[in-house]
Amino acid sequence: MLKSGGTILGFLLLVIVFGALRPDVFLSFGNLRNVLEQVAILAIVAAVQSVVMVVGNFDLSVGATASLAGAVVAQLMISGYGITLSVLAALAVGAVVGAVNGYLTAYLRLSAFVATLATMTSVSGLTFIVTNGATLFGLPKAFMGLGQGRWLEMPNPIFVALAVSLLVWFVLRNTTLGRRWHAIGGNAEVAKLSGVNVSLMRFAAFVVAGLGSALAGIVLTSRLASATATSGDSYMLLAIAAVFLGMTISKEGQANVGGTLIGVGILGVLSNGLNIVGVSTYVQQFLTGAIIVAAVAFSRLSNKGVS
Amino acid sequence: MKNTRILAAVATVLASTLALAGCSTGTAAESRQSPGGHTPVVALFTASYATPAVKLGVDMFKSKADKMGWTTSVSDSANDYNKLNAQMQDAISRKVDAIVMGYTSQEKTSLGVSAANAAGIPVFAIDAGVEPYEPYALNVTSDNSQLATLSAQSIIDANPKGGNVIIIGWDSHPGIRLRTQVAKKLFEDHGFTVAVNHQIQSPGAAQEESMSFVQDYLQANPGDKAPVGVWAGFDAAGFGAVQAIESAGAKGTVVASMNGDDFAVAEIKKGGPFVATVLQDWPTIVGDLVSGMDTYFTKGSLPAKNYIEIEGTLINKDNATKF
Repeated sequence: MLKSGGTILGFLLLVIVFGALRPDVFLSFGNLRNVLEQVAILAIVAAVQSVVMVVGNFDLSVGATASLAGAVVAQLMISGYGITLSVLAALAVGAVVGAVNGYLTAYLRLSAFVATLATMTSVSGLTFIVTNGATLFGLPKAFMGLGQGRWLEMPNPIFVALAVSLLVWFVLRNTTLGRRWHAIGGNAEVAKLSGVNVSLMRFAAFVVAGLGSALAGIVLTSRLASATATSGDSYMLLAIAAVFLGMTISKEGQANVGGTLIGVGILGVLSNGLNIVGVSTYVQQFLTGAIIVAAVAFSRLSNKGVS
Repeated sequence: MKNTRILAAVATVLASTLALAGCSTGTAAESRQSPGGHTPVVALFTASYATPAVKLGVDMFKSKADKMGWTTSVSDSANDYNKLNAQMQDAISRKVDAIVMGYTSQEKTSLGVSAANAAGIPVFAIDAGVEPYEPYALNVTSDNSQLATLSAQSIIDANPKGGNVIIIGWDSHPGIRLRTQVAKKLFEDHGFTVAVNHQIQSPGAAQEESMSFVQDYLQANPGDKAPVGVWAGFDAAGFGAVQAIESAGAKGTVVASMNGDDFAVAEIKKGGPFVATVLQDWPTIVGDLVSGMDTYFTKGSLPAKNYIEIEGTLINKDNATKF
């Protein structure tokens, strides 16, 4: 339990501490709903980042892709295109960015770090071109429903995050595609010798990341009722942090959606709890980094101890 | 593998062609001559071109400079001041005729500014400091104290009985830091309690960060404990607060900020919690700077006064339709 459950215990500890400090507020339905709403978009980005990390890579361009997709959907709607067409176009843009990453990494054999760093830079530039550096606003009311509407008293982004997470979990766990991704992450050479088309599988993982990031960007634009060139950028590091936190839950140290969601939960509870308790932003930033390091280090030390 | 190599080669050629095309477009735009035949070369540096207000001012300057016939380059370091100082050194090596600092912090650019001074290149500035600074030939800036006073006063006027207010600032920016200090003092002088002074971590995502913070604060302080006002140092943060207030259904909490961004004016027109913003007068700020630079280029004389503050205009429900 201690070996694989240290991060879960940490998460529960955070809930208990904040619950004890402000029991009337922190554990209320309204606040838990707030936490879920605030982490929903991060959960989408982190879930698709998990896919790339399962195959042994990572994608630095997810935040920039979210910003670009958000900008594209907003700009198209402002230009008079319908909501469906605009959303589809933004998703397609995300898929193209993912395909470029996949091609550079899987077929041109560039390191994922270099390829996605370069893509992130170019995509950020494209987003500035799309927005012209301005804040895009004045979006159709019907579009706001995606990010601001509620169903069963719960904000819609939570359902989108839940659907994406379930889908990624199902694919990774129950499909041939998922098993091949895991096989590549375990040992790409062995997977290749077993007949797996490693390049194609890797390419597909990046496309999924691009598509999911674009969806996150669309939801973000709807939630904020506006789009800027940098609105989704901060999700990249948070998503990677969430996946790393989640990896400590797996005995094999592999990326997994369940663990990623725990990681997302830790980041969300930490931010919400510290806000409610009234801790300053600067201290919050320090504590977030310290807790990530502590969780990952604790897990590593536990694993060493066992082996 | 052969196909892959061919594709990579084609991609490289295309990217290079695009880059060269971009360069050639820039050269064509910069080839205009001033009536006197001499084309002053101006290098503008900013660290925050991603911010709407900064982009507006920088683009306005570039446009006016182009009309004056100057050859102007714009460099953005994306909040990397080490890079910005290095870029300034490059411009000094190129022997530009003048340097313009766009919305930078004077504490972080002293290396580049001193080098420019040593090389005899005058340094002009748009909104780059909140007090007179000797190394600048001219800094034309918003009157940050006035901006803060007008916006904070809107919250005070909306709440004659006083109460708690939240401040959302970004102290890394000297102008916003000064605004925050002025607003805080004004609130306290009028018997208000500043319940919390929240600092934005990532200005590029200020709207979402502000929304989440105010959402959490309202959750922890519902009903009568809710603040009567949220004062934000810039419009994006104010907009996020408005969305949190509307989402929480908090009645009686008003928001005021400054910049005069389009989305803020649109919210004020709706008649919701957003009660005021203050429009920064960029046409006057940039116009005064260009005028000062033109005098230098044509007559060789620098302005007698090197620091000018320009007042902003309050926008509230009474006049929002005019903007």
